[in-house]
Amino acid sequence: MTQVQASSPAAMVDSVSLEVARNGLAAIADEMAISHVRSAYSSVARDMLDFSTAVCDSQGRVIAQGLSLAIQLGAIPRLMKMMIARVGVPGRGDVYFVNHPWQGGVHVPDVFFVKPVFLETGAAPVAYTVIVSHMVDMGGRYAGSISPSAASIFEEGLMIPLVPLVKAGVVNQPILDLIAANVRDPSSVLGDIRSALGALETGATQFQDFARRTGAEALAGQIERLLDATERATRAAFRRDIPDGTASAEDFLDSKAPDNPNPKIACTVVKKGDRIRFDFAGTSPQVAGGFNCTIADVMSVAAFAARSVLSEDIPVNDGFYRCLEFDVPEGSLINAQYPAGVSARGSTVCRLNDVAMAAMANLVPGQLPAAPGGRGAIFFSGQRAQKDGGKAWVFLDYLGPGWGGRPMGEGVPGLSHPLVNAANIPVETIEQQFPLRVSEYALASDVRGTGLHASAAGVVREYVALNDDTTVNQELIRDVHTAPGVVGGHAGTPALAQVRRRGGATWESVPAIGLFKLNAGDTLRCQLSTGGGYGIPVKDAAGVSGSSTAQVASSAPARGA
Amino acid sequence: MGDRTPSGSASNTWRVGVDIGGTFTDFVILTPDDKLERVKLLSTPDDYSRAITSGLRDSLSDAARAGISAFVHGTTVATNAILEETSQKIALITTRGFRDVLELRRARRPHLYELNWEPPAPLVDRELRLEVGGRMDAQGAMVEPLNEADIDACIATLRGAGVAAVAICLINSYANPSHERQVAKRIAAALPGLRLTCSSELAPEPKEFERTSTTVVNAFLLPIVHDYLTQLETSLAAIGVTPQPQVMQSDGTTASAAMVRERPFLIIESGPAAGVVAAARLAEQMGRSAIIAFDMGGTTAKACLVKDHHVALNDELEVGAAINRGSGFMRGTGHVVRAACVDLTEVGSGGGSIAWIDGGGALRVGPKSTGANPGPACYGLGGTEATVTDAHVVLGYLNPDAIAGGKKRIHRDLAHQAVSALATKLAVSERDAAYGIFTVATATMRRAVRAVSVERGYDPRQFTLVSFGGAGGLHAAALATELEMPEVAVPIAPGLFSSLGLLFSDVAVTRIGSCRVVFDAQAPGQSMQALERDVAALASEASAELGRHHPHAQAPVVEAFASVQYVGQSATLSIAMPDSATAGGPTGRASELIRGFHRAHQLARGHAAEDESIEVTGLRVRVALRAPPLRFRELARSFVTVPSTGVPPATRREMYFGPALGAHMTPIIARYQLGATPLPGPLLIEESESTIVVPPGFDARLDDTGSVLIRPR
Repeated sequence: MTQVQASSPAAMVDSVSLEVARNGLAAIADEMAISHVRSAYSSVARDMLDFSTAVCDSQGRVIAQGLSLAIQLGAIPRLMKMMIARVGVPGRGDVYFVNHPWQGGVHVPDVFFVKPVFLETGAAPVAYTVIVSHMVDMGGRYAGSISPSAASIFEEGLMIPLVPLVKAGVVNQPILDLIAANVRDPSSVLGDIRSALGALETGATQFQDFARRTGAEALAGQIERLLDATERATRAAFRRDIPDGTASAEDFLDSKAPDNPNPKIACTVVKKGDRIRFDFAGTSPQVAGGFNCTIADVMSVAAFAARSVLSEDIPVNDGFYRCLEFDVPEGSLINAQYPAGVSARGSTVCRLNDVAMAAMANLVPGQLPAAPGGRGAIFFSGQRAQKDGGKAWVFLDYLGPGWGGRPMGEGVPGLSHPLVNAANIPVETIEQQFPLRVSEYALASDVRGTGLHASAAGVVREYVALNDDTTVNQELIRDVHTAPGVVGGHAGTPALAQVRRRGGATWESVPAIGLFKLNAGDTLRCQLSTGGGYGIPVKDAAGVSGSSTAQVASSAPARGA
Repeated sequence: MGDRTPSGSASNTWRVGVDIGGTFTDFVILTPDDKLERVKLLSTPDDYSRAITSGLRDSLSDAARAGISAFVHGTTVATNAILEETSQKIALITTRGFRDVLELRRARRPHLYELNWEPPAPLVDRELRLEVGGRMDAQGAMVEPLNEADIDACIATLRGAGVAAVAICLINSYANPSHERQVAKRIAAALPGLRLTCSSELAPEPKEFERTSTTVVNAFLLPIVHDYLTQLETSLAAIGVTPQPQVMQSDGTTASAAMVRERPFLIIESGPAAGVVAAARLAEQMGRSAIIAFDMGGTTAKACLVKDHHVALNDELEVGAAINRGSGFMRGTGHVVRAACVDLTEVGSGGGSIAWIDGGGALRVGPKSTGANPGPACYGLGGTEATVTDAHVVLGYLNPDAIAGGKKRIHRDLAHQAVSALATKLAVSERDAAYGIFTVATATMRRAVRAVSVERGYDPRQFTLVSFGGAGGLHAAALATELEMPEVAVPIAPGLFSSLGLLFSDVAVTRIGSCRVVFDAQAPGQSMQALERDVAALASEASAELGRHHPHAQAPVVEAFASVQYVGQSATLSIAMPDSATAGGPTGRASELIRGFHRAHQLARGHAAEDESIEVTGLRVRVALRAPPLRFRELARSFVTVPSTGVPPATRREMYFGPALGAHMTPIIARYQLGATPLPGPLLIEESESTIVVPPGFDARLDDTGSVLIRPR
């Protein structure tokens, strides 16, 4: 079944201590996540759960990840390499942080925090606790610090290089003051930073405790074996679960960039024996605007695509990452070079994931769903009325598009993009906190990618602005290039956005990806794109209709009907 | 009426607790002279009351049955109804534009890498999710009047649709319930007899998905629980049991059948709550202020923290959910219900959990379980995979011939065969493989205990582990070692311990309310008084409800909790409202509440921001009739006695305690053979319903509650 050493007692100790170490380390990463979710201020962290936690060993290798977003996790190995290269040996009580996309970050709103963990003796850290949390705003030209149209990174907000936020236990207050002066909602941002520091401390204390109980050297040995065992398990699973072969897929991003409005993302997966390689040759060069991403995100995608098809619950740690190989063209859309804009990289990374999963689906037919709809990320911002304090407000709404058709049935409605897995924000929470009213949150049951198993129905959210001069900066992705169907299923439907002005009766189109203003009483209706269908629709197969368009009929009732 | 008057008078009557599970119905009967009688019968799922009445008829005389003063029961009927998704139809009425909130859920899946995950099907079909126009805003101000024509259209749809109940949940109804009430009133007038339930009555707090889901679950359960309780009452009356049944609620208090009929969503975690209550009561009598209750059964292990004799509560649960991984973070597998419930963590590590080897060569245990059928290999019912129970047999901990007082035969050879197959794959000795299974199972349980302690800011090293359930005594010492807990207590009747909680739970009515009070730094006393007015209103509502069902009861105890956060946060902590005796008037009480919040924030979240303002967003008021004390010292007499047949001859068995401690010929004794003087381990305490392992390096003694106390030497 597995390669097991022959020596009897040692083998037993190994098999058991592996499981004990895996469980104990995973619990630490989870406890950090729980600490953050309970004390964060912003709805981005608290309601959407847009953050991730990890524990790394003394060499910066990921040894456990918390329950968090796959889209952020792949960045941590790169961050730790840079951290160790730049900082060398950090001091006791230090915490470093960074959001600079070429110094360990991914885009400006995602702020990474790293805390070295020391034991009572010893001059070098034995581990690092890491948390990355999406801040509601980090300043810059656009509220929320995300925009497809930012000309370069310099319009995307306050960049923090890898610097100490806490030195020997003392918070560097001037840095916090600097941040507070640059961001639109300082109390949320500083509250979330405080909460992140608390989570790091929680993780550090738990790790110290674990090391003390296990013995520092014994634990280091267990970690080494855990990583090796994970690599063994991963390679065994590659052999078992993924047939050898080569498969490709490509798709186009609706980038709206002046130099290339339709950049291509291409991925070829080469699987042989216990090795798997993701080759992104053919992907377009980086574009003007914020739709680029750094290579950090490619790791997240490859890890997710590979891990999702394995039949065993393998921990995603350094032992797993070791098994992934890449080829990512430098200067491309997905390996953009400084100072490219990368703020809107979330949409690109999701598309990158759709492509990698589509290639993977060709290797393991009958296992993966068709592509989901495109995500909806909608920033509302403005200034509160004088009677409400007059402060700037920013609200990031993040809508799950629902999934494509699956091998065993229809797509699941309203779910977040697979790579992201963020929660939605309750309508009643929005209305408590921001000058907006939500007048609809529903499924458009006649809109879906059809197939033997159709995608989930489209998701609609409708907002009424309560203040004049409310800025909307939105990315309703897949407004042109819709989600492809698989094995004969039809493509999904495109994203649509419309506005009805106050007192008006008619709807005007507004860009699904773009920036515009609303006044009090104006209604914005967002209909997300839908996923692709899975399999040939029954009526196509019967020759009744060969239509390959996606906008099909109310013949497909919503799930549950 | 069968009111349980507060403590004192209970001892001249009979009290009956019945815990109904899918397989067994457990009875505990407290006699007037504080003796405990126990009966275990097979459940009768076609009509659960049959097992109850036949059990009571067989074990109690007519006179005794007439003397029953309290009949309390725990039931899984609500959970089962949801799990089995009975075919009944219910309807939902929402604000226009929001009928799919129930299906859109919170957009998140519970397992990152499981792309084939399926959410539970909505309990209301889409064509019965109806909408009405009309709108409140978040402050409760009306934005758009209720559209009565829409209600009439709903009525037309409902008429003849054959629905058993209707849930009503409108946007922002927590801030202003008047539209919901109008909808209910109009439907009730048009369709008399149709069961209706409004979200603002059940869970008046923000977040529309959670509130809708709660209301829908309640509507779904209304007819089922109503019929169930009616049948139970009829059957009980027929055998001369007159008190109105009390039902255990998820929060560890009980409520009368009449109240539960209106609010069946409160009894979902009826079963597990009782054991925690019993543990809390035991802690009180043992003089321990910090315990973790740990219950290990056949398929899962559960943990709950009890501090200062208060059971830790959570404000949300999921019904029909998969067992979580021992962390409070894995949500979305079941139907969300907002209701106070015992804050339990459950892991898939029980006697029947299966051991396996993963691709990296690590030994894993669970979450897959053999269940009752075929059960562990050693049951001889066809199971071949090694389970935790098989490991217990190989290690020598479980009686190699029979358990459960001789009722369950053990096939020792089959346990050896199963474990030996695993040992071969691991290239280790059979007993090392068995000890490996034992250790890995313990590691999983450790995670459950950490989840209720470390994740909540508590250090398990300051807690006593109170371990019960059939298998609770087997792992307790090992688990305590892993967590560095200083003491283990295995109470009397570990196998029936949960049912004991039924006899000694408070009767309570809980009401929650939403508010938004920001504490004004200049005039905190005024903010406090505003809160106290709200508390008083909720308390009088709850007292009236309690009084309706228990008209002869003495004055109830009122407890109030505020949901507090820093201004701008969106996660509250529950802080006890200071009582009126606090020095310094309203201002003094305000500063006590604020101090309490900073302390709790520091404890649970590792930091406090003492210069930030705080706000209160909700209130929870519990009005309770205290249960009589659970007198473990008296009860212990029925358990810790020398059998009439005399002390059996001393026996020993070889038992294995792992590579470090090795194998030992271990004495096997009965609980009554322990005394106040500690006996050194290794030692095995065998009783009809449980086995307690005292490893080398530990001492065991008996305390005056009859509990076995195990401590490291």
